[in-house]
Amino acid sequence: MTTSDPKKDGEGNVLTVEHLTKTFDHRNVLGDIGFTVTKGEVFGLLGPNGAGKTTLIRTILDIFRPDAGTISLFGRTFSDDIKDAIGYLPEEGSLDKDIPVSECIRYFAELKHVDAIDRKMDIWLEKLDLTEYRDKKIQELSKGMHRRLQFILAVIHEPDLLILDEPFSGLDPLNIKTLKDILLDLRDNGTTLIMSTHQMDEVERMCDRILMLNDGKMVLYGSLDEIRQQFGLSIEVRYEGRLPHIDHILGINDSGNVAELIVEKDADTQAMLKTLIASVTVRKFEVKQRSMNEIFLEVCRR
Amino acid sequence: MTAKSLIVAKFEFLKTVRRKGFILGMLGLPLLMLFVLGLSLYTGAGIGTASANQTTGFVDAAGFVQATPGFVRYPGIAAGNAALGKGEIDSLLIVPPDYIRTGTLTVYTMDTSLLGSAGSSQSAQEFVTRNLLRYENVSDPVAQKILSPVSPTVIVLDEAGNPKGDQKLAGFVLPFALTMVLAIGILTSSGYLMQGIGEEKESRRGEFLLSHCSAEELLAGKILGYAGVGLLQIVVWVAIGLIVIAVSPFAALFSEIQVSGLVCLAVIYFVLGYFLFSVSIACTASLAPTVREAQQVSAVFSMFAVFPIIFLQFLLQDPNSLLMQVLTYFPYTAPFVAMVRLTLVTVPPYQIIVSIALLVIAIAVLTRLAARIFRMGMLTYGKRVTFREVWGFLRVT
Repeated sequence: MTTSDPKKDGEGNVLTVEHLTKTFDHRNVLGDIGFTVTKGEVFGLLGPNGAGKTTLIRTILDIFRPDAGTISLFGRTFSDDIKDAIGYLPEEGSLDKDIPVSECIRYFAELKHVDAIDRKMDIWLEKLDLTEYRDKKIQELSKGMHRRLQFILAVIHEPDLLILDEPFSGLDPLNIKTLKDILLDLRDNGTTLIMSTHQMDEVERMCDRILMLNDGKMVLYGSLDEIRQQFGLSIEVRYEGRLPHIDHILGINDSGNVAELIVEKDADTQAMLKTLIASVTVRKFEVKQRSMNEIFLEVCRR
Repeated sequence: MTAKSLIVAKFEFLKTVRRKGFILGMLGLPLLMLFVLGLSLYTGAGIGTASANQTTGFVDAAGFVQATPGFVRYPGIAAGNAALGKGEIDSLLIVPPDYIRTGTLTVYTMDTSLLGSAGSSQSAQEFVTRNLLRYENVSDPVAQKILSPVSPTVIVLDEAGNPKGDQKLAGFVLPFALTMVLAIGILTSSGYLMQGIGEEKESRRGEFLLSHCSAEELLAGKILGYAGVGLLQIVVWVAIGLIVIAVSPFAALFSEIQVSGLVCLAVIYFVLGYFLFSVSIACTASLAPTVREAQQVSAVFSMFAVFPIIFLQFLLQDPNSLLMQVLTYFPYTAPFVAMVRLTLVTVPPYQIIVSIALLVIAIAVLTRLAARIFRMGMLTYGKRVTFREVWGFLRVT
């Protein structure tokens, strides 16, 4: 497991978690978790269902108290003003359906001590294409609109740290693109993003570093490049004939004419190509870093 | 109390009082009661009016009844019924020969309405009694006294044999009625609280809210907001009640009512009772997987409010019995039983002090535990929480 911390001294770290442990009913939900998130980065929080991601987020948000370990936000322990500097978009949960959109936004904005609420509300409603629903009741919104409204509630107070749990769930491709653009804008303006998701392609496109949990334990932590290197390479081969035995191969996904070879990280790919040419007609030979999806599946299978 | 609690309180208050269901309940219930009261007054007045304009035939086999304006003698039942059939009379009264021994009268009428039957019966009784008194040579003033309702002046003494302070009927009725209003207020406002929390849990909104404010702030805000709802409801009901009293014939009974210590105690018990029930119901609602299950469990709390009615017989027989003392000390029954006892007898001050102190302690302990249970309960979705898990919530959070 990679354990690179960009700034171990804590300066510039928005979040520092050390030896965090949380148990429920004698079951270890989080065990000795430690990581940092630096200012302005997009940090991916990955793991299969039940890995402990939501518990970790709730503990960061002070909804749960840790049994052991420390959490430091912006260099300090948790307090009310720190809570106001964090935005959170949970994966599930619906808003009060009987009230108008504007009233809902106002309520959550007031809870975060937002000033000039109306102006900010109008800006965000326009950004997320909800202006015409300003005075409509929430029950009139579609699922996608509801999700966009939740996003407004998470960001209207211009948080320094934004935690997103499956932010793209329930959104169509157009809205995913809109939301992604907004997230990248926020990042460019200095907001730090922690994103919990199962969509590995989004992780590869957006995240600078990741932490992967499995069964409450850290199994991967570091930058995407570091992690990919750790997991070796993959070679896509299009061929005719019968594949020969090749050394330094960790696994093969063979579909008959196309095979994906998972190779050791220091393997000699040129030597492999020669071995293949000697036995089969090679139409394509492409060396790639392994995708996060493959890495995710492999780690989950362990 | 933090600013965030006040924001939550304001939001919950406005959200609830704008609901059509709330407005209907707040105004509808007193209007319904007014309608029932009006109907009964109208019915009562109708009986008098109807009987005054009617002609009654009678057959006197007992030999003491004389005809008077509105009452026509007939020699027998056949002749009377014939007149009734022709519409010459509205009813036919039969006074049997053994009336003085049996007290039995029979009235024939063709009016099938409740009003008509009641009117005939009432005027027949009065007519026969008046004739009997005259037959026995009872003087008119005495006869009038016998026929008029008795209105005694009741002087209630305390245990030392001294008259209690407020001797007027309203002095007893008002605190008792106030207790009932407070009980309804406590139960309805904590019911709204339970529904609000249950809906939030069902829609899995709690996690989002807890990222905006702490469990303590959220809980305090909700309790305060729904206390406002309950208070508004009580104020509206009391205001409507006062208006009705002011324009009714009973206004004089309430004219000299002053805000006594009893009313102050009623306010104290309401505030403490509301907080106790709210905190308890908030915990219950946060642990139940659905609003429906929360309502079922919360029904237990409603039972406490009707204890004075369940134990009314014992309460009236001996308001200072051991059972009533225990119920005065038990925090969930104290607000209701203590108030009813206070309207009936002189309750030793130490009992009231202990009762209020126990209420305050219960609220303090429950509030401390409630925020933990509430926080964890709100985040436990789709399953029943076991007692073991609740114990776990209290220990680990």
